Amino acid sequence: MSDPLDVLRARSSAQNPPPRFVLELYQRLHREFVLPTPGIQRDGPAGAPVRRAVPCLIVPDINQALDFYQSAFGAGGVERHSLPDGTLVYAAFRLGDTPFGLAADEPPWNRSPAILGGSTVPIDLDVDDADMVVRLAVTAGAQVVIPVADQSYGQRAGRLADPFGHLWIISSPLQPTS
Amino acid sequence: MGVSESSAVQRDDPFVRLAAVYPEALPEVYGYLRHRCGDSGLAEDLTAEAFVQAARSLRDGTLDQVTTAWLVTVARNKLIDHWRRQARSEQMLRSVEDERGDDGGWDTRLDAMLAAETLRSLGVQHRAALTLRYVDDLPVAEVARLLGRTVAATEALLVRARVAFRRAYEATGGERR
Repeated sequence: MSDPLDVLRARSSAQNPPPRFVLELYQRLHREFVLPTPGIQRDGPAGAPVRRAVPCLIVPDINQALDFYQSAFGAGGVERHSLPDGTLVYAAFRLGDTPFGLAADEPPWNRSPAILGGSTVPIDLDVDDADMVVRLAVTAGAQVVIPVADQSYGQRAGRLADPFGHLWIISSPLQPTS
Repeated sequence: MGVSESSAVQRDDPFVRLAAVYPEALPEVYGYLRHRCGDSGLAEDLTAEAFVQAARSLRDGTLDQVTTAWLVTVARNKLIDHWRRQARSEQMLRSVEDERGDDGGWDTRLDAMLAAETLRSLGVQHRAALTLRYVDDLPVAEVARLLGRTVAATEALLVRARVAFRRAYEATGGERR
């Protein structure tokens, strides 16, 4: 005698969830891999919602920008994110322990300094030897905006514009005069 | 165009391993849960829990490769956890109605749709036992393991669940012979 409850047995039950959910879950899973980095501590009040900030630089060409940041600043941890058809849409890299993103010009959302006619946000890089870093960056194609000099606030610092128009302040601690 | 819509095809890292099975595994995991819990919101929540667990295990190196079968197994455990929570709150609301007797060798043909509806209407303990035993077609010993009961207790639970099922099915006007 067959069991009448066998009628309950599931046949293939694959079913597509709503497209909204497909995308949301994918994004959430990606964040599981991208955000948590051991050793990063949260400052601020307990339960503060922000873990850290990740600047995203808009450039005309992602690969060209990666080449520059690697040769000028020794960028590490490079990741390229492409669509299945091979189109490169995003890249990530690190300078020291700070993560950066790179995305290509895509007006009206993504506009590089070249399109805007300038940059509003200089990025400070704390380095061991400002003179050496600036020399490397200039060799790789950066332009000096303010030459490296001893500053009254106790740093040796100068300012660069990279080939894509992003501004960088390069600072190292002033050596105590002997 | 954001990073979330891209796939990191140029790296063989844990995220790529998860992203590679995602398109195929998602409908399987979601469908498995949707079919068994009859509630799309709950199915979405439990699907997300299963995939996030996979992500964390891959990230922490406790899981090397993720497969659809692994995800469905995790999804089943998430569903059982959900049933446990539901059973606790049901017990707080009312004492569990224990069905006495046996179903006396029920020999009939059930309407599949009506049977599935009947199953959804049962209390969570009965629903859990019958879902694992009949919908998932698992052996009694496996049902016992998943529900954290002895085989004897599980057999007794299944008998009571079948009685409850038959009573509910016949009350909905299901075929009676």
